[in-house]
Amino acid sequence: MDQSNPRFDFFPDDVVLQILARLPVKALFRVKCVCKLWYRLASGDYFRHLYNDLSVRNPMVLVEVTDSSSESRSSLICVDNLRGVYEFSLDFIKDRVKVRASCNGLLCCSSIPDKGVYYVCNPMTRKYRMLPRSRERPVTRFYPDGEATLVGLACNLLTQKFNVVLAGYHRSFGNRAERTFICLVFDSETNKWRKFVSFQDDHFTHMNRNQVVFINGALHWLTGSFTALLVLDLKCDMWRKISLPDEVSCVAGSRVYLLESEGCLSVVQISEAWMIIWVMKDYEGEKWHMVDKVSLRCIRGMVPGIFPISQTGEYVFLATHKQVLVYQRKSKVWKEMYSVKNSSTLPLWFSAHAFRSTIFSCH
Amino acid sequence: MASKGNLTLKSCNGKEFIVEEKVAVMSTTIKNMVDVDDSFAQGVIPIIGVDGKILAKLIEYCKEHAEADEDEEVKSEEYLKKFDEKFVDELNLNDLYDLLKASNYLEITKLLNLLCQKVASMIKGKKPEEIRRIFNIKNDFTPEEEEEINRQNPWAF
Repeated sequence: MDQSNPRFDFFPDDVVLQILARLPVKALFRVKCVCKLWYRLASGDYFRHLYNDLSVRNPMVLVEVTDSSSESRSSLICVDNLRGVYEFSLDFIKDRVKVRASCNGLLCCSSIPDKGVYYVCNPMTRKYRMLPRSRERPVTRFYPDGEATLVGLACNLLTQKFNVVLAGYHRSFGNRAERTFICLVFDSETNKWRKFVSFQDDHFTHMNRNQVVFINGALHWLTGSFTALLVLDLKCDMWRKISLPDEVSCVAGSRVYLLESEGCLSVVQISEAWMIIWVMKDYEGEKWHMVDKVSLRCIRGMVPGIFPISQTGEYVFLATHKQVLVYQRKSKVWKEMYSVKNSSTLPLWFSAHAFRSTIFSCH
Repeated sequence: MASKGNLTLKSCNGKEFIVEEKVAVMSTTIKNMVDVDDSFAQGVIPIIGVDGKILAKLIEYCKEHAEADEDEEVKSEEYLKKFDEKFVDELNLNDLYDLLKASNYLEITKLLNLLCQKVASMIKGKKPEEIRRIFNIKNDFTPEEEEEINRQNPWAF
């Protein structure tokens, strides 16, 4: 020990907690063996809440990058406003997987070779849980073949419980999809699936399916017609709809995306010249507020291919074919955060998810 | 005696600083003192356990941020970010330690967050033994206990 240095183990616990809560998860596991006090402080429930609260303010973007030299190898790139860009893989799951949904630090992945097998993992703590196969035969009955139309992950940071939702139209063999909408919900506590059936006639694009927002105990998807949000309330297993701002549906030629904004629902509308951000601050009252109108003049050439992925009050992350951009809302500055060098086969936005790093156990 | 709208802060080694009230009340502790007892607003506020050098640093920080809070146009986000970066970069370990303690005691939340972030970035890439050496922390684990913790999450090491 260097006697001239001040003694950091004499700090108030509060200060040590605040310092530890600002470490990346990997470093956090390492510092647990510095001394008993740090180990104890970093293991408690209070610390977990503190850590997760802080991480909410630092949203990131995950993009899946396929290595063109070997089809089977894909890695995840994490773009983070504080710490920059880093790569990690899901190789701790001993399977080839595709990320289907992301919520509060957990990812829901489906197995590529094994249809119908789903995993929930925390890529930061490298822990995963394989979900039991449901007794239903979802595989051939969903539309399009083989995959559930909607996959949703709902992680409650307070209770540390999660739900996985698979939903899709019933399709009897050789026939067109019917309006019968089958929904399977996995509950992490009971370790079981439950099923319920309803009637829907909405359609979904690939982008709608990727962008699912969990707040107020409900999962939200944008419908393909851009007229409403489809909402699954997990407290009562009921589907309902929330309409979009009137102004959104009437602008021809614009695209609409569903995101979260600091615990609220948000839709982002992109037209040729503008990006307009709406936030539903009052969830019960279902009222939308326009919070920002951003000129897209300085990135004009990219506009047809930009997709907003995640945001806070301070910035918006967007993915293009080969780049991840960040827009700083106060200073109105655009920056490139990441770009792929090699010719990747799929555009980045195709597999981009909002992400935040939390200590959430999937067990 | 400070004029109206100003407060006098006195460090533990007797140095007095006259600061504007809006600067001093960046500290929740001082704000509470002034709110509760009017006599503080007129007289001298003793800042226990904080010496003149550290108090001057604290005031330097609070001044920049109080002015920025008042008028966003004068000091941009970008300017404050640069100021914060420079502020923490110039600190040696002893100052960092004293400032952390002082900002915690005086409840200057913004500064406390900034300093905690700084310490976290110093810890981030380092091995446990390096962290112990830099921050002068005694390892109170037995080798067996330490090995057990390492075994729980081998990928982190």
